[in-house]
Amino acid sequence: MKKKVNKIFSRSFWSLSTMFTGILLAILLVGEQVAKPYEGWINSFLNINPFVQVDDSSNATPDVMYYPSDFSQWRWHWDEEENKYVYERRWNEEGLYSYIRSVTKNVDTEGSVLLKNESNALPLTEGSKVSIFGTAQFPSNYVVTGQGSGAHAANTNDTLRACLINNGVEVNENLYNAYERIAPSYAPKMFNTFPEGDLNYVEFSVNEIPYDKIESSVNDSISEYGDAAIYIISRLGSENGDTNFSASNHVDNNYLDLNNEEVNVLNNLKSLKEQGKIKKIVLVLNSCSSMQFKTISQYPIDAILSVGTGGTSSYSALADVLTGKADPNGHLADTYVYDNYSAPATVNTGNFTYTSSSNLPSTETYAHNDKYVVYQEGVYVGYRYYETRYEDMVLGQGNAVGDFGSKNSTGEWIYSQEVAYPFGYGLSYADFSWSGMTVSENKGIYNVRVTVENTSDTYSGKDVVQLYLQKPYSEYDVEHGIEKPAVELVGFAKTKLLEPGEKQTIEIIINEKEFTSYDADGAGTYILEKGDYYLTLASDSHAAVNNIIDAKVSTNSKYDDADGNPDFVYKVNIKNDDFTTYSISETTGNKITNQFDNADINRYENAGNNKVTYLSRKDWLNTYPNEPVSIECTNEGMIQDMQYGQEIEESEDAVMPTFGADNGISLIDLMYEDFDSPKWDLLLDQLTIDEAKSLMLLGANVIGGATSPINAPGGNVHDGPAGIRDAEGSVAYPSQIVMANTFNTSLIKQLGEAFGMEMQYLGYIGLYGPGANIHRTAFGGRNFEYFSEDPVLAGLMLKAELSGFSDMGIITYTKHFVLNDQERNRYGVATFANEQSIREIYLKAFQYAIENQESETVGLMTSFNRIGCTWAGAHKGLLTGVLRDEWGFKGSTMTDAAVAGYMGVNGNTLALANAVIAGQTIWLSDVRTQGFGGYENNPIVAQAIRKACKYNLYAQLRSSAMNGIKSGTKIIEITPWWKDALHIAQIAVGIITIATLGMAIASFIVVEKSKREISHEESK
Amino acid sequence: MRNIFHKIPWGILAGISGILTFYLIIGVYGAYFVFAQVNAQTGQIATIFDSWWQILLFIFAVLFAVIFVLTLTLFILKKIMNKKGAITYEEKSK
Repeated sequence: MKKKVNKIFSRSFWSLSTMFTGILLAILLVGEQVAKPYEGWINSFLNINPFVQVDDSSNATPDVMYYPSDFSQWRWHWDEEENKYVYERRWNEEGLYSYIRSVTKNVDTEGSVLLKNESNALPLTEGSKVSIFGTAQFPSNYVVTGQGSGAHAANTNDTLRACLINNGVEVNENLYNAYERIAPSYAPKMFNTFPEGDLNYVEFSVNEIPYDKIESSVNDSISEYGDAAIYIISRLGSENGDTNFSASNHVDNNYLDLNNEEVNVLNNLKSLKEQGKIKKIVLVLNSCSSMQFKTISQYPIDAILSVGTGGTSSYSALADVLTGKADPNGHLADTYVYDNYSAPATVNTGNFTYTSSSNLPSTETYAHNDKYVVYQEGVYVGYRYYETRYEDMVLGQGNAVGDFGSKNSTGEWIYSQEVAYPFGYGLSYADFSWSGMTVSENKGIYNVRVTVENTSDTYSGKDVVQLYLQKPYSEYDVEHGIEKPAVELVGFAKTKLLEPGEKQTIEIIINEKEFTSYDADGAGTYILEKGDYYLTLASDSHAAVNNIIDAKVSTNSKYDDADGNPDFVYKVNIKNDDFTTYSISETTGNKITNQFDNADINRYENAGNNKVTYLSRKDWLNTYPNEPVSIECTNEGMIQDMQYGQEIEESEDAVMPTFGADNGISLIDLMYEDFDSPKWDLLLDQLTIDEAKSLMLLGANVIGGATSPINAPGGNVHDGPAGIRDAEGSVAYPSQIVMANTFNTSLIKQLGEAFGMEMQYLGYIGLYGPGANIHRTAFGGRNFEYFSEDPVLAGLMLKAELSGFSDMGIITYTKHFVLNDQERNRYGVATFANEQSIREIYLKAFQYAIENQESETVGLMTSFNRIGCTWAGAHKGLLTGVLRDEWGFKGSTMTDAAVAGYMGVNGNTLALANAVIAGQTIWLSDVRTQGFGGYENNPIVAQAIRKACKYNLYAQLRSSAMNGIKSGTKIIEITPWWKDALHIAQIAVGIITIATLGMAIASFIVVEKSKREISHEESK
Repeated sequence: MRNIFHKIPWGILAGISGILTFYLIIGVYGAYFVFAQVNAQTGQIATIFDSWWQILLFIFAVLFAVIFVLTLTLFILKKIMNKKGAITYEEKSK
């Protein structure tokens, strides 16, 4: 018995148990405190929105829907758990997803660009026997979307083989099986390379299956399946990964050219074609950004189809296009060139460190404080460079002739040897002719019409008519550094599906405002100069410039590579300079003035000895960037501007706003009030600082709400833009490039609506997307998330997509505002550009979508980079001067992931206060524990906090988060279940620890007692 | 020396180091798991060595794992030796 008692009271067992449970208890107690700053992230990971609607009215009518969907309705149904009928919003899931997939498939087919189609190689005829080459024919290897936050699973069982068979084509099974056996080992790869210790930076590899692994299958079966060889080539892109790295097994070490295995496959296909074993070669480009054509152009390829990354519907759309079930009527949203380094912007793209610097904040994983990039090319991005230099060569002006900038030309730069396919280019299976261009003008609104006829005998198709503008390049421009590209897209229209022989008159409307230019150096605003302006309708940018050249002059230049058509040119003569009309914002009535002097090295007051020569058509030879711009950061003012936080200027006029009043106003009461209604002030007077923290400092996939009396619902938001990332079974949407390729705004609006419906269905009110940065070079890692190299195409497409989202009440945090056009060093890189290029190239897409819109968009995401030396999220000129004061934006502006000190987190509360004053309104993180650092007691900051909360509340008010809310609805903040679970665990472990401690103490007593008894007995 | 070996409570030491190893491994993995989830939301990558305290956690985890294996071995050795000692004593007493 005694032995048994001694065993129960084992000192070591109970001591160790106490230690074990004690440590566990300590972890649970400390863990709660550690988890506190991450509460928002934990909630988002568990998909918990802690802000919940509670209806206290007796006759509840929850079906109040400000943003209804066609695929949902409120109805009574029997709830087995509650054992009663409940009134609920029910979704027609099958109908919803069938609709979404039909829209995405239309976008994919209309976004497929047929670059080449010799002897009508495509479409494949029914019963064709084809062989498919390339690892990308398998869903696991096809690039459905890019990587990073724009990544999304395909979520489909489609295979290209099955889709082609379904469309009546026979597929080489022998070859397919040979590929299938080894395909899992040959998916495209993404890997970290840790440049300068950057943990996040990635590079890619193609990982094509070597030809020798399928050679025997080819030899066995190709003769029977030789009607066509379809070869798919894929390229990845990603957040944190540009594509200008050195890819050792690629032509020119360029990832966007072919790699050795691909060259080997094409060599063999060429040989098989020469032997007569295959009749034609069809190349499909499945790429996140523009590939270069230096090597591809050397092969006898019959048809080239650029399909981009099309999401869930990729394969079914591709099969439809290949077999002619759908017409590929996409047009290029980017210029396709032979060598991607022929773009002048590539000279200043990549990794640049201040040549000399001191006292900068130290560089960290998320703060590249000693890095910079200069947009030396100015406005000459994409076709604006190629077409302008071409015109100047043809017209013999601006020192344009020479071998500088030549990458693929033999000797001097020749347009046709540098550009493979111009911007806007694209074929259709149908042929079209245009006639009867007319232009009418009324009070500065130009109405351009043309009749399009499908002249094909066989195929139906859609045509795209593009409207380009040439502005006069004057002496004033030369004097003040204003650049005027030879052509600029100002509008476009797409026909309906025209049957053979069918005609349609289409109309493009533009505003005279498009004729203006930004004059940072002279008038400091938008100006309309006197002179001849040329409007031309064209099928691409090169046809446009040739039309205008032929309308202006008769030239025998050896550089003139094609005849233009002056019939499609309309000249507008502006008689007088007008430097006032467009200096006032037509949206807000505010004066438009320079806001980015601190981003232009030549105008920045703290630039010190730094100087930049921007590329100019006045003298191409002497302004073409031959090497990257060198910048030093030694000027005291510049060093100060780079610090995390600037002293807040005192203002005697600033007064503390009212906080914590109870005026009995709920957010819902403002549903039909103007933004300037006095009721807003009554609502905002009720705010407490804790609520301001919730509304502004909680943006970690859940945007914060506010409880009674304000009753703001908050809600779940997520990545985009390719779909709702991580949401099981959700749709992967076509990339922004594919959308832009469609040149079809009504279709893209439909896509925005469909996407918005899916978001409502899955319980999200906001999306971190779409992207609207510019394809400054082909190497931008996230180009697939952005529309185009052209701001007008990007802007009109963005406007259409956002309009669809807005109709569904989705807050779209359009990103990345702004000048975040490369991934390298994106965390804090100082980005320098002149104001004309910032406004006319990089801001314009955002401006199109925000200013004068029919469906209001209420979200925007600021970028990681600095503009000049100031973080974009704290740049007052950008966030208040342009965005609010010029464009009249009333929504919320969210930071990109708030991970670095310069973004006002990690204790840098002065930087946070600066950003709030500048106009930033929500942080994409959970920074509530840090808070405003006492700066909320400064009246200037307090007023800015109040204003930011208004913008955030307005965004929620104009969102589907308000669905179901009516007068009387209250918002309460619940404790998430994991916190309750944590508390229960703390109590349980606490009790166990006390018990084990008790047993440990008892065991010591019992053992001591027993020892004493033994020694007593022994002494006897 | 033999006396010291027998006097040291290897079992207790093994228990303590085992417990510490257990929590340290959970700490290393837990921190990685949380940061991986957070970073995944913003397209970033987490590693187990993102911060100084994660590195420290890892070092201690390895250290205590080694101590645990060592002390456990010594504890088992001690048990075996004790058993042998007891048998020898019994044989002697026969």
